[in-house]
Amino acid sequence: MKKVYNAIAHLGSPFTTFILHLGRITNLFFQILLSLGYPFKKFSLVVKEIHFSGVRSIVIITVSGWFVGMVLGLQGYNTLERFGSVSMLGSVVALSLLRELGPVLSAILFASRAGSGMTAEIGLMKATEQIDAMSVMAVDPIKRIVAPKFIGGVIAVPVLSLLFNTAGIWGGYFVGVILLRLDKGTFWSQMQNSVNFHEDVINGLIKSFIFGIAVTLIAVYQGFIAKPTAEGVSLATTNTVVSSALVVLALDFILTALMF
Amino acid sequence: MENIVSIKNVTFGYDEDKPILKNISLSIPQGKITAIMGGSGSGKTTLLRLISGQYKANKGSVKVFGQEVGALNNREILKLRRNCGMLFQFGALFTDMSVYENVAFSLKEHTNLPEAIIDKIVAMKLEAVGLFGTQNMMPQELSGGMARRIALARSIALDPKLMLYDEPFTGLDPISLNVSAMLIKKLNDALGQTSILVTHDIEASLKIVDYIYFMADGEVVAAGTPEEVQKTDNPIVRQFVDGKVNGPFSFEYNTPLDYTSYMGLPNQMRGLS
Amino acid sequence: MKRMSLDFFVGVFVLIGIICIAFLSLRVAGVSDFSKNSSGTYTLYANFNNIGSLKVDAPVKVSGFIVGRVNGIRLDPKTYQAQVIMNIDKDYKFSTDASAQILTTGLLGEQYIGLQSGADTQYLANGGNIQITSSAMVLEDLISKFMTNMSSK
Repeated sequence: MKKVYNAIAHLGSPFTTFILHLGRITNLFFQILLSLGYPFKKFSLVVKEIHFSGVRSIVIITVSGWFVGMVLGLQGYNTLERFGSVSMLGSVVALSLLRELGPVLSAILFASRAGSGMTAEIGLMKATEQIDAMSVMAVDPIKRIVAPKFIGGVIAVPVLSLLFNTAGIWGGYFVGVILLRLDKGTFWSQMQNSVNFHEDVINGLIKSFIFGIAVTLIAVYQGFIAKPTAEGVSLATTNTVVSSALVVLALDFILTALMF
Repeated sequence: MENIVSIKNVTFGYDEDKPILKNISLSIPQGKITAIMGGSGSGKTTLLRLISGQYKANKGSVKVFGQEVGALNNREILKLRRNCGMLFQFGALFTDMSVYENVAFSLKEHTNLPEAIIDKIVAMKLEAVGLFGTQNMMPQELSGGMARRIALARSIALDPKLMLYDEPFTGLDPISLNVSAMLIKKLNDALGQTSILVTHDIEASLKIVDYIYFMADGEVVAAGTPEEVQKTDNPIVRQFVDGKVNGPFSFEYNTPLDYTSYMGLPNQMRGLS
Repeated sequence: MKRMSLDFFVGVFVLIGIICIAFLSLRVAGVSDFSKNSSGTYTLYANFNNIGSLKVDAPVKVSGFIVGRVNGIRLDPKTYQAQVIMNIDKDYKFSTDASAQILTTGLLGEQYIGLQSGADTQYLANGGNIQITSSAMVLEDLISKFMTNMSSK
């Protein structure tokens, strides 16, 4: 009987842990919102974070965006060719990037490039008592460390997704127009006919803004709950990447359902 | 004489069933250096964190500057901490900042002083620990002893009335160790501070402290001035002062398993004794 | 010096963001000035029996050139016709006997409104109504017409 009870309790435990984390992360989110005034006073801290999480991700985002655009160009061409509508290639590439792939992939790349770094930094600061030292010096670590990272991330992710989209569209252009010799004018005009600034560009930006909040929040939260050991910090960085990817994909589904 | 810190009947544990501190009472007089000693895991560091308001006691009263720490809200605790300096075990310098930025940290956060004055104050604090000229170095470039002294300069930046030292001597070579001990004494007397020293280094502390509390298993087991401690017959204190292997503290892990029967050996003596 | 370079690179980063959004809005989404700012446009109305799948923001073209966009579509409660509200660039005037047609780009593409100016010397003013309209081609109607023609032969 006891065994059965334990087995059931065991089955439920991932769910209860999830609820627990959700509660704590919401709590952290509100704490961050309350301390947002501070980083705006000391904006150099935010500049440093944008440099860390945004500027240093430019190369990976541009290269990935370019390749994703090229793949979309090739696959789109193969599919559209069967229906004799290769002229639609431009809009296929642009719409897939702007609506879904741009925001989602740039958020996931951001999580693995910058989010994991944030987690490791906070985790190590905790392990070496730097966080304790700061709070003993009467400075709230949420204000001084977390809030600038949060703002930096929330600014960096939408900009990176814009860069990803731009690089991707040029990647599609490269495959479609330069390699497969489609008409340049048709490529752009078909794109312009089907892409709507509000519905596609702005909605995509809103998506990546929300992903930016989610990923940065997960990254700093994982840093705070990391066990102060080498193993604990490495586990926490892995958790950041994995749970960010899952959360971004799930949020994307919800947002797509709401927006389009 | 006024007590800066007074602790009465304090019990604390992360888990109610496993208390780390059991019904502890002690008081820290103004202007003195008080040491809290004990082996690893005796609850010394936890006691320090109760005083700085990082933890709250489950039972009993912790009063700092006459204020009940457990009853303060976050803002009041931050206010209280501006009067406290704390030196962490390995310094806990901010690794992404230079020495200058580390020492200037609380000045920049809590005051509106112009950069030129902060620059002078930082130079003074660094000179006080004998490390003037290291302003532009990064923490990675410092030796353990230097890092500890920079951290000391950082913690006295706002001229705190109460200094808390968490194992200030751990991992230092004998020279750095004596330098640190001398600095603690000098700063305490020069700035009129009150200091609490959590340590297990008996030799260095006997030279500089005014009063010693011994802790074991979350309880205060003995107390006295350095002279009293050196003469006492209390077996726990004696073992600690003389560093004997055998005594009330056993170096062996306390387990219900019996080694002899576990190994299947006949009547073998256990351990080194 | 180090602070300066940090600020510089973050400035470059923000600039990249601005360039990208300019590219995405102008080159990719094809936002042209008159479609969004209403000051340079005037409104025309047209009633259709069937608008097919015409949507808000669909282009209004003359000889294939975009002169405006559909601003709104609503049902006239009296005639049960669909009323389309169009924002037209002020530079282009249409005579009172102009005609409007709902056309399709390609066989299955998006629908748009095609305008043709007439011979009248009077021009439609702001809020004017285009009288001559022809509805969208609906594939089902075409097929059934074709079928009845076939069977009557």
